[in-house]
Amino acid sequence: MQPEALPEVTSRPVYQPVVKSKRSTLHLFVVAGDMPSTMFEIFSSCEASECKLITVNDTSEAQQKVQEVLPRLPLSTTIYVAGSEAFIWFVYEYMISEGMMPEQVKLFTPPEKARQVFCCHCYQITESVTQSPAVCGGCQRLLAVTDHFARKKGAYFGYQVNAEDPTDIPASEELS
Amino acid sequence: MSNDQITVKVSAIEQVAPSIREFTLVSEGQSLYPFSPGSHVVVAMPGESKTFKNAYSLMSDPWDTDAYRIAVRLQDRSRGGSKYMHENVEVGDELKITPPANMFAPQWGAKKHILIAGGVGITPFMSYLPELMRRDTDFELHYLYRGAVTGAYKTELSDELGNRYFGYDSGQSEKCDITTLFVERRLGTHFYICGPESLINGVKDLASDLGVPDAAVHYEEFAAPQSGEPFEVEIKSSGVVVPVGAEESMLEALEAANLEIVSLCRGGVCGQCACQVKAGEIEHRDHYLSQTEKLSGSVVMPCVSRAKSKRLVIEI
Repeated sequence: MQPEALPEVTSRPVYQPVVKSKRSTLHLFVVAGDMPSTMFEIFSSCEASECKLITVNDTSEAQQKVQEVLPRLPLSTTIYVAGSEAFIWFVYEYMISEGMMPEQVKLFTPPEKARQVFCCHCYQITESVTQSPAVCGGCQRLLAVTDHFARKKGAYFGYQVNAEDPTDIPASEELS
Repeated sequence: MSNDQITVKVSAIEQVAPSIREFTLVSEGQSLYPFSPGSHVVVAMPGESKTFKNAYSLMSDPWDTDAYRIAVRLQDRSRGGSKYMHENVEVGDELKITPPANMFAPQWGAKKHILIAGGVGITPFMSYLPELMRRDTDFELHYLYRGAVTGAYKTELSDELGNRYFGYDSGQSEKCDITTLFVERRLGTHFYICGPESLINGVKDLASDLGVPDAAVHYEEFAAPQSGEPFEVEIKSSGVVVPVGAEESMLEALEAANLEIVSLCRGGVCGQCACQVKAGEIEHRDHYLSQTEKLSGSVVMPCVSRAKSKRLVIEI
């Protein structure tokens, strides 16, 4: 059985083109992986004295490096974040918890379609999911991957697709 | 419901400054509602021709359910409300008030709170302070006043807050350089402004110029509806036509005609009294509708806004 089509989902993030915040006195760039060309444009338009670049491999490194500069960030800081969807939302949540306003955190469109999936049965997050259904890395259940997105977790909601009949395995679909 | 009423008794009146009277309100036989810091109540004041309804901030401790306190400044050009509170209300009188409502609550996620009060705009912060202290939050109060005229409470505030209190008496030429309030502030600092429109706009513009995020700047205006040209308002469904005088608001005129409209702040910020407009040109004076909504000309906040045309056709 195929899961029924759900009505339009509003929690899925829509990434708008990022523009430079002209009134900010400090522009902080946080990048995991390659810097998108759109970010490079903004970065290269900043004076050296008004910007800071932090390149990292993962979320824990990002948190550690941002934490080091936090006490010196002025109230009028804008932060620009690029990387996987899970990465940019981790940084977003971290900056909000440190007191930044949503309008100060600018997220770039993630380069890949891979998703983190939160399993509503065992609460584990499975990374780099590109197909639905997907096997949960925590409890091995076969999960339907929805478009419902949790910013707090940077993950999409997944639920068991064949709870009534484990032999019913729906056709795999590429996530968009 | 915003049209609920509580009957309270005036148990004390104190002239805290030449133009500011403080009222203590109690409810006999029962306790009042506790409230959140920054809450206000709307006081109904029966005038000669109609009932005035003005919103006043509660300035007592939010946990105190024995009594509410409000302070009323006699406005130079009072339309009747503050004049009534100053000249007609005596100890022992009964007043009708709404339950507390809040359009100006503290942001509890803030790392630091900067309170900026102009004159009688100190009142909402009087209810902030006990709670800010109970929660052991980091805050500063900047109080701008004019000598004895509007500087009620300055001594007690200074004593209670110590180095968290900053007073500026314009009567003594003590100027507050607002720019300095924004300098070297950490991320997560929130600013709250209450006072005359000129102060609010001044602080907001400066914050915006300095790159302070809009969402970190909060304000509450004590804006009584301003007068304007008289006009008529027509209710489309019933065909009833209500004249609106120069000195009254559209909401007051509709209420006087016994048309029930749900309202809350009566100052153009909460959006409760919004009415659909079917015809006529609106003079928008509120802070609630977006620019797009205002340009559409299809919705009006009757508590403060008026008509540019001779008649406005609305639906309620």
